[in-house]
Amino acid sequence: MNSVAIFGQHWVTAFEQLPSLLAGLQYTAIVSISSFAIALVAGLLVALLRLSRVAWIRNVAFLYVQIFRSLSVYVYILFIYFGVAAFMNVDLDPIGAAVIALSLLNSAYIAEIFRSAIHTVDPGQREAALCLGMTKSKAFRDILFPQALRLALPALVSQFTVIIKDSSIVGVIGVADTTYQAAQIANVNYLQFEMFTVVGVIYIAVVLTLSHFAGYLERHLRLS
Amino acid sequence: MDFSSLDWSVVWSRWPLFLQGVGLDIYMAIVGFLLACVVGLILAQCRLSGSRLLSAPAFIFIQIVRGLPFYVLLLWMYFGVAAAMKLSFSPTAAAIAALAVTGSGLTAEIFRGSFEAIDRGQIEASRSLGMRWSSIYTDILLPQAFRIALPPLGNVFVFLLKAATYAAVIAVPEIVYTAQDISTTYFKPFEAFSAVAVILVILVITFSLAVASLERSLKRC
Repeated sequence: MNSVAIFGQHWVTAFEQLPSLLAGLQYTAIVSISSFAIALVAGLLVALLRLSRVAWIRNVAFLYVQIFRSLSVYVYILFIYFGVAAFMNVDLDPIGAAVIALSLLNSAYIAEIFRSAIHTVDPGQREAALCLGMTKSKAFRDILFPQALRLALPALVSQFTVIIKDSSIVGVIGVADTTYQAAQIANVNYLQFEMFTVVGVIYIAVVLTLSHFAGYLERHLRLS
Repeated sequence: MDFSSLDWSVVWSRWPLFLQGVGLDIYMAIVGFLLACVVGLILAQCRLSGSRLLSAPAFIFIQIVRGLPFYVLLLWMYFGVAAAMKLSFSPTAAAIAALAVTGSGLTAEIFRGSFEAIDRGQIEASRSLGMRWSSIYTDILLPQAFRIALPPLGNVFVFLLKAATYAAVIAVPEIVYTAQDISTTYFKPFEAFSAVAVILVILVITFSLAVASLERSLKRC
């Protein structure tokens, strides 16, 4: 066989592994979607605490954001899966540990997204709602939050793409995501270049689709 | 949960190793960042050139880099490219290359934005004063663009510093690798990774505060 044929054969072999990689993509999806959902709730909570009138609550929330934003997911995953698990004498499920790490980290980023969105809503809206006799919680729930959510939506979708990218590291604790599958297969067939290229293409396709969606949201929501 | 069972001496007695490890992270981040600035500046010029031939490949490169997880890029670089080209990189070189590539996708967009933010009147004024293009670029445009770009570039540096810890997966003896080593040798994972977390949080917050104060002082003048 000449070298061109071998080259072609390598890529065919790599693409034949696509079913395994797509099976791994399911774990990527499970981990990223559940982390995103938890991070949304936790992030909103932290954003509200950061806007609290009580100084110490504000400071604690600020510290939370600073601490969780300053480490890579990799460090968190190792810390939680090996460190905290050993300290508390529990056996953590790898997927659970991965979701905890990704949620903690991203809740800090999402808190900042919500906070700046809430700040961007015209303060007149809140004043008008209070003047109409709404309670503070009702004014937030029905007037401020819907507008803030709309402002935050493009940034939240972008953050979701960051979560998908960050989730590629979960293979280090044995979650069989798509990157892990590619690495395992590459260890067997020695087609490292081809396997990592294919998995890279998968990520690029998913992430670029989502970020174009974010761009679309941004244009669409601004106009109306 | 038993605090009395914790043995911090494992960490305290090996502080030079942690220091060395974090030093290597900072070194990789700095070299990767400088390379990313050079490549990003070139990419930004291609994007702004107005020629499709230069702009389209730069655009595609930036999109690919931004869609690729850093971890996958690192594996692709260290295992993939090495296998395809039948050579072997040092792990540190592979990590720096991956940091530079990831960073360049970010810096390219920052530089593009900052060149676009400069008033066109600056170029027209320089032209009417009879300046050459090369000197307009180096004396008028570049200093202003750099100043506008400085705070977001600082954030890219912080991002690269955090990403540098991933280099442990390809056995670069940086701080996470040191911690993993101690963790498996003495079975002290909590102590070892706590030490890493504390050191990195302090480091990154210091850099972030420095970037923020830089931003404020640039806004003032």
